[in-house]
Amino acid sequence: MAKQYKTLGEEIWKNRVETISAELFIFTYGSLVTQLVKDYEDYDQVNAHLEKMGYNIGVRLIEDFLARSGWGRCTDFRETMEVVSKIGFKMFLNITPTVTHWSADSKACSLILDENPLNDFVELPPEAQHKLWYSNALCGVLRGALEMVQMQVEAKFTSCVLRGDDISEIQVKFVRHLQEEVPDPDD
Amino acid sequence: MSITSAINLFRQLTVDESQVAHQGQPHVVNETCLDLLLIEMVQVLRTSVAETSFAVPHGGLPPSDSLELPQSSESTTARSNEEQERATELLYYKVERVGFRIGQRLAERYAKDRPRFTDTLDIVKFICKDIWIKLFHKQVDNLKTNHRGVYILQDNKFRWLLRMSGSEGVAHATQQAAPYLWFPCGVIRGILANLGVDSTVSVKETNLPQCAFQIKINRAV
Repeated sequence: MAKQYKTLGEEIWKNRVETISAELFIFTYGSLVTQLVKDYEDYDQVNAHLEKMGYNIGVRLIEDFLARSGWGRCTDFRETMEVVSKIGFKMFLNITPTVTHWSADSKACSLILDENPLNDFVELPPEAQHKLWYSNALCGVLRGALEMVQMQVEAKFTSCVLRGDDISEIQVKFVRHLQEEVPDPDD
Repeated sequence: MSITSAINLFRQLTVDESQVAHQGQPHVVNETCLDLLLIEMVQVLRTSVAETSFAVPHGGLPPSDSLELPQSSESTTARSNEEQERATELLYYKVERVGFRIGQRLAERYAKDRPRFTDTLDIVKFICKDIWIKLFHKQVDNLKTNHRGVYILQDNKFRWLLRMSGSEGVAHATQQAAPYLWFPCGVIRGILANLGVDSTVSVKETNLPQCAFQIKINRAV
Protein backbone atom coordinates (compact mmCIF):
# COMPACT_ATOMS: atom_id res chain seq x y z
CA MET A 1 0.00 0.00 0.00
CA ALA A 2 2.64 2.46 1.12
CA LYS A 3 4.62 1.61 -1.97
CA GLN A 4 1.83 2.76 -4.22
CA TYR A 5 1.94 6.31 -2.80
CA LYS A 6 5.66 6.42 -3.19
CA THR A 7 5.58 5.31 -6.80
CA LEU A 8 2.89 7.80 -7.66
CA GLY A 9 4.74 10.58 -5.86
CA GLU A 10 7.89 9.84 -7.77
CA GLU A 11 6.08 9.56 -11.05
CA ILE A 12 4.43 12.95 -10.56
CA TRP A 13 7.72 14.54 -9.54
CA LYS A 14 9.44 13.18 -12.64
CA ASN A 15 6.81 13.79 -15.25
CA ARG A 16 4.15 16.22 -14.20
CA VAL A 17 6.03 18.97 -12.44
CA GLU A 18 7.92 21.99 -13.70
CA THR A 19 10.93 22.69 -11.59
CA ILE A 20 13.07 25.68 -10.74
CA SER A 21 16.35 26.01 -8.96
CA ALA A 22 15.76 25.41 -5.28
CA GLU A 23 18.14 28.20 -4.38
CA LEU A 24 15.88 30.94 -5.66
CA PHE A 25 13.00 29.54 -3.63
CA ILE A 26 15.12 29.10 -0.52
CA PHE A 27 16.61 32.58 -0.77
CA THR A 28 13.20 34.11 -1.31
CA TYR A 29 11.78 32.45 1.76
CA GLY A 30 14.83 33.31 3.81
CA SER A 31 14.85 36.92 2.74
CA LEU A 32 11.18 37.24 3.58
CA VAL A 33 11.70 35.77 7.05
CA THR A 34 14.55 38.22 7.60
CA GLN A 35 12.30 41.10 6.62
CA LEU A 36 9.54 39.98 8.98
CA VAL A 37 11.98 39.64 11.84
CA LYS A 38 13.21 43.17 11.17
CA ASP A 39 9.66 44.52 10.95
CA TYR A 40 8.07 42.91 13.96
CA GLU A 41 11.10 42.52 16.20
CA ASP A 42 9.17 39.80 17.95
CA TYR A 43 9.66 36.14 17.11
CA ASP A 44 6.24 35.01 18.31
CA GLN A 45 4.59 37.37 15.88
CA VAL A 46 6.90 36.27 13.09
CA ASN A 47 6.00 32.64 13.77
CA ALA A 48 2.32 33.53 13.64
CA HIS A 49 2.68 35.44 10.40
CA LEU A 50 4.66 32.67 8.77
CA GLU A 51 1.96 30.22 9.75
CA LYS A 52 -0.72 32.47 8.37
CA MET A 53 1.17 32.95 5.14
CA GLY A 54 1.56 29.20 4.89
CA TYR A 55 -2.16 28.80 5.41
CA ASN A 56 -2.90 31.11 2.49
CA ILE A 57 -0.43 29.19 0.36
CA GLY A 58 -1.98 25.87 1.39
CA VAL A 59 -5.44 27.01 0.39
CA ARG A 60 -4.20 27.47 -3.18
CA LEU A 61 -1.71 24.67 -3.18
CA ILE A 62 -4.30 21.96 -2.63
CA GLU A 63 -5.82 22.72 -6.04
CA ASP A 64 -2.49 22.20 -7.69
CA PHE A 65 -2.05 19.00 -5.72
CA LEU A 66 -5.43 17.59 -6.70
CA ALA A 67 -5.04 18.62 -10.32
CA ARG A 68 -1.63 17.04 -10.72
CA SER A 69 -2.12 13.93 -8.64
CA GLY A 70 -5.73 13.16 -9.49
CA TRP A 71 -5.98 11.65 -6.04
CA GLY A 72 -9.45 10.88 -4.73
CA ARG A 73 -10.82 10.59 -1.23
CA CYS A 74 -8.72 9.16 1.56
CA THR A 75 -10.37 6.60 3.78
CA ASP A 76 -8.90 7.76 7.07
CA PHE A 77 -6.45 10.18 8.63
CA ARG A 78 -3.65 7.64 8.45
CA GLU A 79 -4.01 7.41 4.72
CA THR A 80 -4.23 11.20 4.45
CA MET A 81 -0.91 11.62 6.18
CA GLU A 82 0.75 8.99 4.00
CA VAL A 83 -0.49 10.86 0.94
CA VAL A 84 0.65 14.20 2.37
CA SER A 85 4.14 12.87 2.91
CA LYS A 86 4.73 10.60 -0.06
CA ILE A 87 2.83 12.51 -2.71
CA GLY A 88 2.31 16.04 -1.34
CA PHE A 89 5.75 16.84 0.04
CA LYS A 90 7.34 14.82 -2.74
CA MET A 91 5.75 16.71 -5.59
CA PHE A 92 6.36 20.18 -4.16
CA LEU A 93 9.65 19.99 -2.31
CA ASN A 94 11.01 16.65 -3.48
CA ILE A 95 11.24 15.29 0.06
CA THR A 96 9.29 12.56 1.84
CA PRO A 97 9.02 13.11 5.57
CA THR A 98 8.58 10.03 7.72
CA VAL A 99 5.13 9.66 9.25
CA THR A 100 5.46 8.25 12.73
CA HIS A 101 4.56 8.50 16.43
CA TRP A 102 0.93 7.68 15.88
CA SER A 103 -1.26 8.18 18.90
CA ALA A 104 -3.39 5.25 20.04
CA ASP A 105 -6.57 6.70 18.57
CA SER A 106 -4.87 7.42 15.22
CA LYS A 107 -5.64 11.11 15.48
CA ALA A 108 -2.19 12.55 15.95
CA CYS A 109 1.14 11.83 14.41
CA SER A 110 4.48 13.39 13.62
CA LEU A 111 6.19 14.20 10.38
CA ILE A 112 9.93 13.83 10.68
CA LEU A 113 11.69 15.98 8.12
CA ASP A 114 14.97 14.23 7.43
CA GLU A 115 15.76 17.00 5.03
CA ASN A 116 14.12 20.34 4.61
CA PRO A 117 15.14 22.47 1.65
CA LEU A 118 14.01 25.63 3.44
CA ASN A 119 16.74 25.07 6.01
CA ASP A 120 19.57 25.00 3.49
CA PHE A 121 22.15 27.75 3.95
CA VAL A 122 20.37 28.87 7.11
CA GLU A 123 21.92 29.55 10.46
CA LEU A 124 19.88 31.24 13.13
CA PRO A 125 21.40 34.00 15.23
CA PRO A 126 21.72 32.93 18.90
CA GLU A 127 18.85 35.10 20.14
CA ALA A 128 16.49 33.53 17.62
CA GLN A 129 17.43 29.96 18.34
CA HIS A 130 14.91 29.38 21.07
CA LYS A 131 12.13 31.47 19.67
CA LEU A 132 11.89 31.33 15.91
CA TRP A 133 10.35 28.38 14.09
CA TYR A 134 12.02 29.14 10.82
CA SER A 135 9.97 26.80 8.63
CA ASN A 136 6.69 27.53 10.36
CA ALA A 137 5.07 28.24 6.99
CA LEU A 138 4.99 24.48 6.40
CA CYS A 139 2.58 24.06 9.33
CA GLY A 140 0.31 26.66 7.81
CA VAL A 141 0.44 24.94 4.45
CA LEU A 142 -0.69 21.67 6.02
CA ARG A 143 -3.52 23.40 7.87
CA GLY A 144 -4.67 25.38 4.84
CA ALA A 145 -4.48 22.54 2.37
CA LEU A 146 -6.27 20.02 4.59
CA GLU A 147 -8.95 22.52 5.50
CA MET A 148 -9.86 22.75 1.84
CA VAL A 149 -10.60 19.03 1.85
CA GLN A 150 -12.77 19.34 4.92
CA MET A 151 -10.26 18.36 7.55
CA GLN A 152 -9.38 20.65 10.38
CA VAL A 153 -5.95 19.91 11.74
CA GLU A 154 -3.49 21.50 14.10
CA ALA A 155 0.11 21.45 13.00
CA LYS A 156 3.10 22.70 14.92
CA PHE A 157 6.82 22.26 15.03
CA THR A 158 8.05 20.49 18.14
CA SER A 159 11.71 20.43 17.21
CA CYS A 160 13.90 21.84 14.49
CA VAL A 161 17.51 21.17 13.56
CA LEU A 162 18.13 24.90 13.23
CA ARG A 163 17.49 25.20 16.95
CA GLY A 164 20.09 22.57 17.66
CA ASP A 165 17.65 19.65 17.93
CA ASP A 166 18.54 16.30 16.41
CA ILE A 167 15.56 16.17 14.12
CA SER A 168 12.92 18.44 12.67
CA GLU A 169 9.49 17.31 13.68
CA ILE A 170 6.02 18.62 12.88
CA GLN A 171 3.23 17.37 15.05
CA VAL A 172 -0.08 17.05 13.25
CA LYS A 173 -3.30 16.61 15.17
CA PHE A 174 -6.62 15.82 13.57
CA VAL A 175 -9.36 17.99 15.06
CA ARG A 176 -12.57 17.27 13.17
CA HIS A 177 -14.21 16.85 9.82
CA LEU A 178 -15.70 20.08 8.57
CA GLN A 179 -19.20 20.01 7.22
CA GLU A 180 -19.58 20.78 3.58
CA GLU A 181 -21.46 24.02 3.39
CA VAL A 182 -24.72 23.65 1.58
CA PRO A 183 -25.89 26.79 -0.21
CA ASP A 184 -28.99 28.41 1.23
CA PRO A 185 -32.02 27.00 -0.65
CA ASP A 186 -33.74 30.40 -0.55
CA ASP A 187 -31.13 32.04 -2.74
CA MET B 1 48.51 -1.36 -12.37
CA SER B 2 48.72 2.30 -11.65
CA ILE B 3 46.29 2.94 -14.45
CA THR B 4 43.72 0.51 -13.10
CA SER B 5 43.98 1.94 -9.63
CA ALA B 6 43.62 5.40 -11.05
CA ILE B 7 40.50 4.32 -12.87
CA ASN B 8 39.17 2.74 -9.72
CA LEU B 9 39.86 5.84 -7.78
CA PHE B 10 38.16 7.89 -10.45
CA ARG B 11 35.16 5.62 -10.36
CA GLN B 12 34.97 5.93 -6.62
CA LEU B 13 35.16 9.65 -6.85
CA THR B 14 32.39 9.90 -9.41
CA VAL B 15 30.19 7.52 -7.47
CA ASP B 16 30.77 9.54 -4.34
CA GLU B 17 29.91 12.74 -6.09
CA SER B 18 26.68 11.44 -7.54
CA GLN B 19 25.71 10.11 -4.13
CA VAL B 20 26.37 13.46 -2.57
CA ALA B 21 24.30 15.17 -5.21
CA HIS B 22 21.56 12.65 -4.69
CA GLN B 23 21.52 12.63 -0.92
CA GLY B 24 22.36 16.27 -0.41
CA GLN B 25 19.86 19.04 -0.75
CA PRO B 26 17.45 18.63 -3.58
CA HIS B 27 18.57 21.14 -6.11
CA VAL B 28 15.21 21.81 -7.58
CA VAL B 29 11.73 22.31 -6.24
CA ASN B 30 8.32 22.53 -7.84
CA GLU B 31 7.84 25.86 -9.56
CA THR B 32 4.41 26.21 -7.99
CA CYS B 33 6.07 26.64 -4.58
CA LEU B 34 7.75 29.83 -5.69
CA ASP B 35 4.67 31.11 -7.50
CA LEU B 36 2.55 30.72 -4.41
CA LEU B 37 5.23 32.15 -2.17
CA LEU B 38 5.55 35.25 -4.34
CA ILE B 39 1.80 35.86 -4.24
CA GLU B 40 1.76 35.68 -0.48
CA MET B 41 5.01 37.55 0.02
CA VAL B 42 3.54 40.84 -1.15
CA GLN B 43 0.47 40.20 0.98
CA VAL B 44 2.44 39.47 4.13
CA LEU B 45 4.59 42.55 3.65
CA ARG B 46 1.49 44.65 3.10
CA THR B 47 0.14 43.42 6.43
CA SER B 48 3.46 44.14 7.98
CA VAL B 49 3.37 47.72 6.72
CA ALA B 50 -0.12 48.20 8.16
CA GLU B 51 0.70 46.62 11.50
CA THR B 52 4.16 47.87 12.25
CA SER B 53 4.47 51.23 10.57
CA PHE B 54 1.22 52.97 11.46
CA ALA B 55 -0.18 54.03 14.79
CA VAL B 56 -2.84 51.71 16.18
CA PRO B 57 -5.89 54.07 16.11
CA HIS B 58 -5.75 54.32 12.37
CA GLY B 59 -4.93 50.69 11.72
CA GLY B 60 -5.89 49.52 8.27
CA LEU B 61 -7.34 51.93 5.78
CA PRO B 62 -11.08 52.05 6.37
CA PRO B 63 -12.80 54.26 3.80
CA SER B 64 -16.08 54.17 5.76
CA ASP B 65 -14.81 56.63 8.39
CA SER B 66 -15.01 59.58 6.10
CA LEU B 67 -18.71 59.01 5.47
CA GLU B 68 -19.69 59.55 9.08
CA LEU B 69 -18.24 63.02 9.44
CA PRO B 70 -19.18 65.01 6.36
CA GLN B 71 -17.64 68.31 7.51
CA SER B 72 -14.17 66.86 7.94
CA SER B 73 -14.35 64.37 5.11
CA GLU B 74 -12.00 66.36 2.94
CA SER B 75 -9.20 66.43 5.44
CA THR B 76 -9.77 62.78 6.26
CA THR B 77 -9.48 61.74 2.65
CA ALA B 78 -6.46 63.93 2.26
CA ARG B 79 -4.89 62.28 5.26
CA SER B 80 -5.78 58.79 4.22
CA ASN B 81 -4.47 59.54 0.76
CA GLU B 82 -1.25 60.64 2.29
CA GLU B 83 -1.15 57.54 4.43
CA GLN B 84 -1.89 55.38 1.45
CA GLU B 85 0.98 56.96 -0.36
CA ARG B 86 3.25 56.37 2.56
CA ALA B 87 2.06 52.79 2.85
CA THR B 88 2.82 52.23 -0.82
CA GLU B 89 6.24 53.71 -0.36
CA LEU B 90 6.96 51.49 2.62
CA LEU B 91 5.70 48.46 0.77
CA TYR B 92 8.00 49.34 -2.09
CA TYR B 93 10.91 49.63 0.29
CA LYS B 94 10.25 46.27 1.90
CA VAL B 95 9.58 44.31 -1.28
CA GLU B 96 12.62 45.80 -2.95
CA ARG B 97 14.71 45.02 0.10
CA VAL B 98 13.66 41.38 0.08
CA GLY B 99 14.64 41.17 -3.57
CA PHE B 100 17.92 42.95 -2.91
CA ARG B 101 19.03 40.37 -0.38
CA ILE B 102 18.21 37.56 -2.78
CA GLY B 103 20.17 39.26 -5.54
CA GLN B 104 23.22 39.48 -3.33
CA ARG B 105 23.08 35.79 -2.59
CA LEU B 106 22.43 34.81 -6.19
CA ALA B 107 25.46 36.78 -7.29
CA GLU B 108 27.66 35.05 -4.75
CA ARG B 109 26.32 31.68 -5.71
CA TYR B 110 26.48 31.90 -9.47
CA ALA B 111 29.39 34.23 -10.11
CA LYS B 112 31.95 32.41 -8.04
CA ASP B 113 33.15 30.04 -10.75
CA ARG B 114 33.43 32.39 -13.62
CA PRO B 115 36.27 34.58 -14.74
CA ARG B 116 36.52 38.10 -13.38
CA PHE B 117 34.19 40.57 -15.02
CA THR B 118 35.85 43.01 -17.36
CA ASP B 119 33.38 45.89 -17.11
CA THR B 120 29.83 46.82 -16.19
CA LEU B 121 28.48 45.67 -19.53
CA ASP B 122 29.97 42.28 -18.81
CA ILE B 123 28.09 42.14 -15.51
CA VAL B 124 24.84 43.21 -17.11
CA LYS B 125 25.31 40.51 -19.74
CA PHE B 126 25.87 38.01 -16.94
CA ILE B 127 22.47 38.99 -15.52
CA CYS B 128 20.79 38.80 -18.92
CA LYS B 129 22.17 35.38 -19.70
CA ASP B 130 23.32 33.30 -16.75
CA ILE B 131 21.03 34.64 -14.06
CA TRP B 132 17.98 34.90 -16.29
CA ILE B 133 18.44 31.32 -17.47
CA LYS B 134 18.77 30.12 -13.89
CA LEU B 135 15.67 31.95 -12.79
CA PHE B 136 13.41 31.92 -15.81
CA HIS B 137 14.79 29.23 -18.15
CA LYS B 138 15.36 31.83 -20.86
CA GLN B 139 17.52 34.80 -21.69
CA VAL B 140 16.49 38.43 -21.67
CA ASP B 141 14.98 39.12 -25.08
CA ASN B 142 16.53 42.47 -25.69
CA LEU B 143 19.31 44.48 -24.10
CA LYS B 144 19.78 48.13 -24.97
CA THR B 145 22.31 50.59 -23.67
CA ASN B 146 23.28 54.20 -24.31
CA HIS B 147 26.88 53.37 -23.34
CA ARG B 148 26.66 56.00 -20.62
CA GLY B 149 25.44 53.92 -17.77
CA VAL B 150 21.83 53.20 -18.74
CA TYR B 151 20.76 49.69 -19.68
CA ILE B 152 17.33 48.46 -20.61
CA LEU B 153 16.50 44.79 -20.24
CA GLN B 154 13.40 43.69 -22.02
CA ASP B 155 11.65 40.41 -21.46
CA ASN B 156 8.69 39.74 -23.70
CA LYS B 157 7.28 36.97 -21.59
CA PHE B 158 8.33 37.69 -18.07
CA ARG B 159 7.71 34.49 -16.18
CA TRP B 160 6.36 36.03 -13.00
CA LEU B 161 3.76 37.96 -14.97
CA LEU B 162 2.65 35.15 -17.23
CA ARG B 163 -0.39 34.14 -15.25
CA MET B 164 -1.52 37.56 -14.18
CA SER B 165 -4.67 39.13 -15.44
CA GLY B 166 -7.26 41.58 -14.26
CA SER B 167 -10.95 42.10 -14.62
CA GLU B 168 -10.64 45.76 -15.56
CA GLY B 169 -8.35 45.68 -18.54
CA VAL B 170 -4.64 45.56 -19.08
CA ALA B 171 -3.85 49.04 -17.73
CA HIS B 172 -5.50 48.33 -14.40
CA ALA B 173 -3.90 44.89 -14.17
CA THR B 174 -0.51 46.41 -14.89
CA GLN B 175 -0.98 48.84 -12.04
CA GLN B 176 -1.98 46.02 -9.72
CA ALA B 177 1.06 44.03 -10.76
CA ALA B 178 3.49 46.80 -9.78
CA PRO B 179 4.52 45.42 -6.37
CA TYR B 180 5.38 42.12 -7.99
CA LEU B 181 7.83 43.96 -10.26
CA TRP B 182 9.57 45.86 -7.48
CA PHE B 183 10.78 42.49 -6.35
CA PRO B 184 12.83 41.63 -9.47
CA CYS B 185 14.08 45.24 -9.48
CA GLY B 186 15.52 44.55 -6.06
CA VAL B 187 17.01 41.29 -7.23
CA ILE B 188 18.81 42.99 -10.12
CA ARG B 189 20.07 45.80 -7.90
CA GLY B 190 21.28 43.23 -5.35
CA ILE B 191 23.26 41.32 -7.94
CA LEU B 192 24.89 44.49 -9.24
CA ALA B 193 25.64 45.74 -5.75
CA ASN B 194 27.32 42.51 -4.80
CA LEU B 195 29.50 42.72 -7.88
CA GLY B 196 30.53 46.25 -6.96
CA VAL B 197 28.18 48.34 -9.04
CA ASP B 198 25.95 50.89 -7.39
CA SER B 199 22.78 51.30 -9.41
CA THR B 200 19.15 52.33 -9.52
CA VAL B 201 16.76 49.85 -11.05
CA SER B 202 13.24 50.68 -12.09
CA VAL B 203 10.50 49.27 -14.23
CA LYS B 204 10.60 51.04 -17.55
CA GLU B 205 7.36 49.82 -18.99
CA THR B 206 5.02 46.95 -18.61
CA ASN B 207 2.44 45.51 -20.87
CA LEU B 208 1.56 42.19 -19.34
CA PRO B 209 3.32 39.84 -19.67
CA GLN B 210 5.99 41.94 -21.34
CA CYS B 211 8.20 43.97 -19.13
CA ALA B 212 11.32 46.13 -19.30
CA PHE B 213 13.72 47.02 -16.52
CA GLN B 214 15.94 50.05 -16.57
CA ILE B 215 19.30 49.95 -14.86
CA LYS B 216 20.97 53.25 -14.20
CA ILE B 217 24.54 52.94 -13.02
CA ASN B 218 25.35 55.48 -10.33
CA ARG B 219 28.94 54.60 -9.81
CA ALA B 220 30.93 51.68 -11.05
CA VAL B 221 33.78 50.50 -8.90
